[in-house]
Amino acid sequence: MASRKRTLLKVIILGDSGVGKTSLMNQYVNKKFSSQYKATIGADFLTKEVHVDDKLVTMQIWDTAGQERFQSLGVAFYRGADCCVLVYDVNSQKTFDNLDNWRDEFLIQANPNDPDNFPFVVLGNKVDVDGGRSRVVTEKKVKQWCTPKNNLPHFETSAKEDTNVDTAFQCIARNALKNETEEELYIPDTVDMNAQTSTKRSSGCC
Amino acid sequence: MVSPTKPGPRVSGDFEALLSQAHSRSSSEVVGPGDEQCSVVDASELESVPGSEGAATEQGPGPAVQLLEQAATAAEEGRNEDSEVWRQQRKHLFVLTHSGKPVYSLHGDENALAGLMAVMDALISFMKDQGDSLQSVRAGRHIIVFLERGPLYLVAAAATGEPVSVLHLQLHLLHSQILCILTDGFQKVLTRNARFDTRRLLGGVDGILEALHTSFEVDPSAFLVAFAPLRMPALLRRSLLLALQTAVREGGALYGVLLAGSKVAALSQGASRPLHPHDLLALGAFVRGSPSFQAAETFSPVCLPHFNPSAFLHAYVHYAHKDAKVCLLLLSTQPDSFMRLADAARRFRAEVNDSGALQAAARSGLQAGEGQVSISSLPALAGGGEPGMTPLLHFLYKHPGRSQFVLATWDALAARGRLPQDVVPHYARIHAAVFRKDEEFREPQPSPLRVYYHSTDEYAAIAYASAEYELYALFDPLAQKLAIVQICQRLCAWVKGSQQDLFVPM
Repeated sequence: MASRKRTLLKVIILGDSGVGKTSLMNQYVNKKFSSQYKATIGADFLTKEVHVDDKLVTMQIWDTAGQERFQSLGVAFYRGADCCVLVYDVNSQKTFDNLDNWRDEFLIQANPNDPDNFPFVVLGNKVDVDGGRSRVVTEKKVKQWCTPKNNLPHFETSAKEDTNVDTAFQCIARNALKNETEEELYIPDTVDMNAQTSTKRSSGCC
Repeated sequence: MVSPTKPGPRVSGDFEALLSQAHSRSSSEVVGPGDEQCSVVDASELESVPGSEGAATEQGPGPAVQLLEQAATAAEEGRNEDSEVWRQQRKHLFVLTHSGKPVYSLHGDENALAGLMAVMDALISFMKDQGDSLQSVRAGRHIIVFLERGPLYLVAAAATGEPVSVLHLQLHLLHSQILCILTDGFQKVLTRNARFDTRRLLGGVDGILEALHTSFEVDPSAFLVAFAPLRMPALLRRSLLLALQTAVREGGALYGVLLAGSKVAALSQGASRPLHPHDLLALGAFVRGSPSFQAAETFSPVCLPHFNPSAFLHAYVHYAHKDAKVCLLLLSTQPDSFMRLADAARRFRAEVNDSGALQAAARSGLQAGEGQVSISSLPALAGGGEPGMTPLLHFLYKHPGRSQFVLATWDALAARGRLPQDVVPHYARIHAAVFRKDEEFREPQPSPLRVYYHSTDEYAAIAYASAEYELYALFDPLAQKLAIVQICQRLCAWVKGSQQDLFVPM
C-alpha cells in the first residue's frame, strides 16, 4: 500500500468559444486533431499522467464550454483548481480582450487563497492559420498584458500542427505543482467528557 | 414490492449519455479527413515563444503509442472505467471532494478515475445550481445514489438489487468510517481550502474501507442498526463480561469491547452512553481492516461518529487470541493512558484464561460462520434439519431491545447455489418493505406487529416485526403457508429460550 498517494492536479481551461480549448486538450491527451468544430456541451473531462521532474502526477483537465449558455456550473467548476489555462485565438482581437473577463470570473468564482500568485497560463492558439498572416494579436500586446500580472507564462500554440502543445502543458503541470497547497494543519481533538455532557461541541481549553 | 414515486429528480437517459460522452472522448475522436494539406510551421514563431525556459522533458519518439499503451494497461488492470472487469463489479463506491477531486474508489485506481469523478461532480453541481439535489438515478440494472456530506460527495452505483434507502445508508456509513479514521476536522480544512488533498490523510486505509464494504455484503448490521453477538455458553460469557467490566474500571476507560471476528463477544458501556450499533460497525471494520493490530498491542486514536464526530477517543487494541481473531478494545478519553490500559488488559487476559472463558469464545469464533446458528442443529419443530429435509432455508432474528441479531448459517442456501451476497440484499429489500423505507434511510422505529409475506420462484419470504422481536425467514417456495407460520412461531420460541447463549447482555 502506498503511504503517500500520487498528486492530482485540477486544471481548468477557459476562453471564448471557438478558440480551440477542446482541440488543445485533445491534441495533448489523445494526439488527435479534428478541424471540424464541435461545440463543447457543458464540460469535458480528461485525465493524463505526466512526469514533472521525475515526479508522476495525474492531471485532471476540465475543458469548459466557452459559450455563455453553459456557464451554469459556476462555483463547483472552478472550485479547488490548481491551475487555470486562459486560451485566446491569435487571429481574433476580441478573444484576447476577453481574457480579462475570464480571469476575473475565475478569481471571483474560485476565490483562491492568494489570487495575486494563482498560476494562470496564457495560450495564444491557431498560430498556423494562413501561415500566421492573419494574426492580429501581436506578441508585444500579450507581453504587455502578462507582465504586470506577475509575469504570467505565455505560449503560442497550434493544436492542429501540435506546435508547443506539450511544452505548454508541461509548464501548466509544473506551475500547478509549484502552487501545491502548503501543508494545511489538521489538528484533531480528543473527546472532553466535561464538554461532552453539556454540548456536542469538541473540546477546547478554558 | 412496489416502490412509490420519489420526490427527488430522476435523470436516467441523460446520465448514461453524459457518462458515455465523457468516456468516449478518449477514444472516438476522428482525425478530420480532407484537411491534410500541411502548412509549414514558421520556425521563428517557435523560437520566439516566451516562458519556455523551463525545458520540458520530452516524451520520446512515439508519444501517441505510449499513450495508447498507458490507457490500455489502465484498462487491463481494471484501474478505470475503460476496463471490462471494472464495469462488471456489482457495486462501486466513490468518494470525491466538492471540487471533483477523487478521494476514494472501492474498485480501480481513484487517480485513473479522475475523469469519471469530475463527471459526477458536474452532475451533482448542476442540480445544486438549480436549488435541487440529486438523489438517485436508475440506469438499466444499476441504481446510482448520491450523498452530500459537507465538502464531500459520496456515490454508490450498484446492480445488487439493494433498495435506494440501503445504498443511501451505506454511503452514510462510508462517510462515518472516514470520520472514524480522521474525525470531521479534515472537512473544516477542506471547506476552507478546496484544493486540500484529503487523500494525504488517508494513506493505508483501503483495508478498513474494504472491510466495511465486505460487511455490507454478508451481514445485515447496517440496515438492521444492530450488531451480531457471538454465541457462547451464558456462564462463561458472564465471567468474560465481569472481567471486561473490571478492566474498563481499572483502566479508566469509557468502553470495553471484546470482538471475535465480526461478532461481539462482550460489551462494557455506561448505561447513559450506550454504543451506537453503527459506531460498533465502524469500530469493527477499523480493527479488521488494519492487519497491523495483530502484530502487537496498539494504542490508536479512533473517532466514534455517533458519540462525537469531532474528537478522538484513544483505543487500546490487543488480540487476545490470534487464530480466532478475539480482540480486546478499551476506549479511553485519556491520550496518556496506554500503560494503565495495558495493565488492565493483562489482568483481563489472565482472568479469562483461568476461567476458560477466552477459550470458549475462541472455540465459538473458530466454528464455521463464527458460531452462527446452524439450521440442522435446531429442533425439528422449529424448522431444524439437514438441507433438503426442512422447508426452512435461512433466518434472521433481531432483538430490538438489545440492538442485536442472530443469523443462521448459510449452508441450506449454499446447497441451492445462493451466496450470502445474493441473500443479504434480499433481506434488505424485505426490511425496507416492512419499515417502508424505500427512499431516505431512517432508523427503524418500534412498530406494532407487522407481517410480510412474499413468494418468488426461489423463496417464500416471511417477516414479523414487533417491538419485542423481528424475524425474517426464507423458506422453500413450495412450503405451505400454515407450516411456515408454525415453524416461525416455534423458531421464535426457541430463540427466546436460548437467549442467554445467543445474545450479549447489555
